[in-house]
Formats: sequence, structure tokens, C-alpha cells
Amino acid sequence: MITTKSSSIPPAARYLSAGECAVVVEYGSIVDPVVHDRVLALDAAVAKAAIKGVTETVPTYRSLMVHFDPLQISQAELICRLQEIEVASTSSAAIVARSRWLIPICYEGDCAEDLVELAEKLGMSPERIVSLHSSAVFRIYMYGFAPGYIYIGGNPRELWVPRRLAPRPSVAIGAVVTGPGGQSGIYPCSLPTGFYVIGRTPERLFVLSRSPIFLVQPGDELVVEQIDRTTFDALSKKEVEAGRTVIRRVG
Amino acid sequence: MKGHLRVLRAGRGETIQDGGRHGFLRYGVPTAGPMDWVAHSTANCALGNEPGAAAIEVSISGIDLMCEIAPLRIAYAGGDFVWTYNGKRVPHAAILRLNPGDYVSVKAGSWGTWAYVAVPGGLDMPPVLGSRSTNLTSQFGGLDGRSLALGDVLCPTAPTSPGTWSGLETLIAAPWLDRCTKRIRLILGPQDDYFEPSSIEALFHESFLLGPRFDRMAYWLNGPTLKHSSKGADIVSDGIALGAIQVPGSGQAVVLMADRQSTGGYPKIATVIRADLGRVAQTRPGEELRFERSDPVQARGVLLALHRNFDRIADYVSAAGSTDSEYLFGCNLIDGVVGTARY
Repeated sequence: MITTKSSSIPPAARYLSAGECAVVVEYGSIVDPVVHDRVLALDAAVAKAAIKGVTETVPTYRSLMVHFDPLQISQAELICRLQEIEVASTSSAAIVARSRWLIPICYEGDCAEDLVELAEKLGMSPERIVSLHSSAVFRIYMYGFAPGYIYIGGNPRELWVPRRLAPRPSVAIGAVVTGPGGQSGIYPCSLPTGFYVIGRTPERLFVLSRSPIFLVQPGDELVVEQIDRTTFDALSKKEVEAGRTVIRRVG
Repeated sequence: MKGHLRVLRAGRGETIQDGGRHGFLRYGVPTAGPMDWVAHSTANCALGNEPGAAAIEVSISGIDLMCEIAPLRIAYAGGDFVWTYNGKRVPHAAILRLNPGDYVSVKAGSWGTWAYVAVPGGLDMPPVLGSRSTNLTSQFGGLDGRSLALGDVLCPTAPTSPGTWSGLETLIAAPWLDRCTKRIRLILGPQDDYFEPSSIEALFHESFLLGPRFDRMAYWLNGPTLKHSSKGADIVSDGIALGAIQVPGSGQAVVLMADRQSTGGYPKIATVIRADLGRVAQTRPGEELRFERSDPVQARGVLLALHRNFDRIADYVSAAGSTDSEYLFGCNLIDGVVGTARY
């Protein structure tokens, strides 16, 4: 069960083995901005330390996975180094660069194919759902599942809903979904989903032929610019298809 | 002028794979790369390539290839596939020198699921996100992100010296390619504390069979039910290492392979050590796997020994000279050489 709650006590790190080529530094087992901030602070500190043998890091909701080449550094040595960095990054109080992005989302017609079903399920009007969702401040927690798929949190509690009984085999690119435990996501490509599709952005979160290929970072925030269907089509055709981005940095 | 390979027949699972796409897991991009990285590295090193150079990954459905334009050397290794050169049986790991019009046919043999064909300098194609590995799910890398098909042309990066002689150049008698035994070493974690102690016992003392469901993403095992502790079978998503053994609510273990997702929400009881991952990959449905407990220090030692073999690959490639490969098979020398020492 995925739970979200807010804590104010800086969590202690656990070091977990994930084979001889990866270590997990875990700060908790819940979705929590405080836990996530610790993960991002360590991620930034590890990148800065440029430890020999570390090949890549993967920040998630609650942990940092550090992949490494054991022929260049042993797991024991790496954990020692990470512990030093961890202590230093705790005292430097999580200074993580963070952007806020304004993302256009259309909540109309076929862009929001599950909106009416969700409204019935939650016993509120579709307008109320759109109003709640479009006024929220979302945090990007992590990428995963597929290239460019972002797990976002901050969905208003009124919109928390269990997965649909029958998952959709595929959703449109840019589908904005809501699910259990405050989880939301935005689809970078056509994929199956068990969540409710309530909107769609013309933006592409993963385009190989574009620079930058990926637009946002874990820790960034998203706020919604509600657009109508005409604007959605215009942005899709005139901007996104021409390789331009339509999300805007607002902070 | 460089010789190239043309695909005359491909099954459904033949792709281009190099050492994998590293550095983009944080953006949700799977590593991909070879299913049996040891066999992949061996074929590359036999030609003097970097271990992670781009090569053809052949699945159990096999492939037929023809050399065109100019001579081309190839090295191949993997499970015990049946390899033929112009219709004549050749050893299951070797370097061949091909002339235009020569063809090589690969079919499943007595054991194994994956094999590799390397060419001089690696296959020549543009990298995507730093790698030539095929990402089938998202359809990029390799040849347009797809599996190989009839008519595809695959070019080497480096030339082959001119000459008219063709045939079996050398065997690759690499004892580490024997993957018949399925004793797989594991390191517990990262979520072994999500399981009952009896599940940890079962993991190391009972046997598991590979079920019918296996692909480049995951191998689904049938075996004892690994019961979760009171913490349950769902976790908030965290990173997934190559070779992680994930256990969903059903209690049946799933080994996560090259095309695994970067993160996931089921507890992972243990991780296959990197040196043994190719053994898991070479398992066929219905075959047994048994797990042994290892630790990071032992796993690192085994990995180091394996890499030393690649550095000394010349000691393991023996000149075939004029010896006929059928004669070698008649003596059972090939099986003998390949079947002896184990690391």
C-alpha cells in the first residue's frame, strides 16, 4: 500500500545491497517530500564527488540507487565514501536546484476519456475534478516505467482513487492520469495504464531528436495551464511537431 | 571495401546489442545490452574488439547470415547452438573467415537460449543515447529499434584483410562458456527483510524451474511460494538492479534481465551475481535453477577472474589450421574442451 504523509524529522539512511554492482541508500518507505529531498541532496552530492567506479545513480521516491563497477571500487569502500558524503550533504541542508514549470493540459473531450467515469466514481462533477487538478502544485518524484515517464505527487486528496478494474491497453501520448495514494503520471508514449485518464498535454517528455531530450528533473514542480481543445491542437501541430517545447519555466 | 552480413532468415528475437545503455536509468531508460554478457564479451574479445562492442544477439529461434561484397571475419559464442558454415557443421564457439557468398546458419542445439555474432570493430551503426543496443519496447537503438528481419545488412566497423582462404579459423575453447550447470549465486537484498525467514531458506534449498514466460525483460520462475512478511508485497517504487529477483504478491520469483525497467514496486529478495547472470539467461523453460548464497566480496572476485580471461583470450583460441571441423566433432574434442574446467 502506498502511503503519503509528511514528516519533519530528517530520516536516517540505510545502506542496502543490490548485488555486487549496486547499492541502495534508503531514507524511508513512504512517499514524502522530506524523504525525497534527502534523496535528491545525496544524488547531487554523489554527482559532485565524482567517485571513481560509480557508473550512474537513480533517484526514486525514497532511495538513491548507486550503480558501480566493482572492479574499480569495492562495495565496502563505496559505502564508506557514501557515508562521508551523506553526513556532509545532511549538514548542508538539501540545497537542490529546483525549477517550477507551467505545463499546458487539456481536460476536454477525448483528451479526458475517463473524466466522466471518475466523476461518477468520486461523486463529484467533472468540473470539480478539473478545478482541483488544475490548481494543484505537483512535485516530480522520479522517472521510471518507461523512458520519460514521470511519477508525480501532490494530487489533491479528493482525487485519490484505486486503479481501474480493467487497465487500458494503451493511452495517448501526453495522457495525464490519476490513481491511488496521490499518484499521478504523464505518459511520454503510448503505454498501458490502470489509472484514470483525466487530461492530456501536447508536450512530449521524451524526444530523442530534440535537445534537450528530457525536459524536467526529479524535484521540479509542475503547475497547470488549463487549455481548451483548440489550443491543444494548435500547440500540438505548430509547436510540438516542429520540435519546440510548450512547457515554460516559471520559477 | 568491407564485407558485410545479409540476414537470410531471422526468428523473432534477433537484435543488435552492445555493452548496454548506461547513464539514462535516471530518466527511465532501460540498460538493454546482451542477455549473456559473458558470451557477448567473449565473441568480441576473440576478434580483439572492446568487450562491449555492438554484436548480433541470436535467440533460440536462430538466424541465417550471408557474407557479401568482400571477405569478413566473424566470431561467435553463446549456448550450445548448432552452427553450420556453407551447410557443414562447425564448433559452437569459433572464429570463421567468410568469403562473399558463404553463409552461416544458426539453430538451437542441446542447451542455451542466446548466442552472439561479433564482427571486426563491432557493428557499424549510429549510437542512440550513447549505445547501439536495441530497445524493443521504445523502438530505438540497433536497427531502428526493431528485431532483425530478412534482407537487413549489417556492416563491420573495421575491415577484414583480403585473401581467398575461407573457413574455420580458430575454435574458441572458453571453459567459462559452459553454462549447463544451473547453480546460480545470489546476494541477499535489497528487500530480503520483506520476507519470512522460511522464504529465505526455501530460496537457497529448494529448486526453481524456468516457466514458459521468459523474454529480454524478465524470466518468470516456478518454485516454492516465497511468502512476504507482514510488511506486504507492495513497496513504494525504488531502483532495480540487473539480475534482481523480484517477488510480486503471488510469491513466485521473477529474475529481472537486460531490458528491465529502471524502477519497480515489488520487493526484491536477492540479486544474481553478475558473473552468473549469463547462466540464468541461457536457461530454457522447464530447466532447473538452484541458488547459492554469495556476498559482494566473493562476487567481485569471481567477476575479476572472468575479466582476466577476456584479457588472456588468445590463450583460449586455438588454431584450427587444416583440421577439419567434422573430424574435431568426431573426436568429441570440442565438447571435451568446452566441458572441462569451471570457474
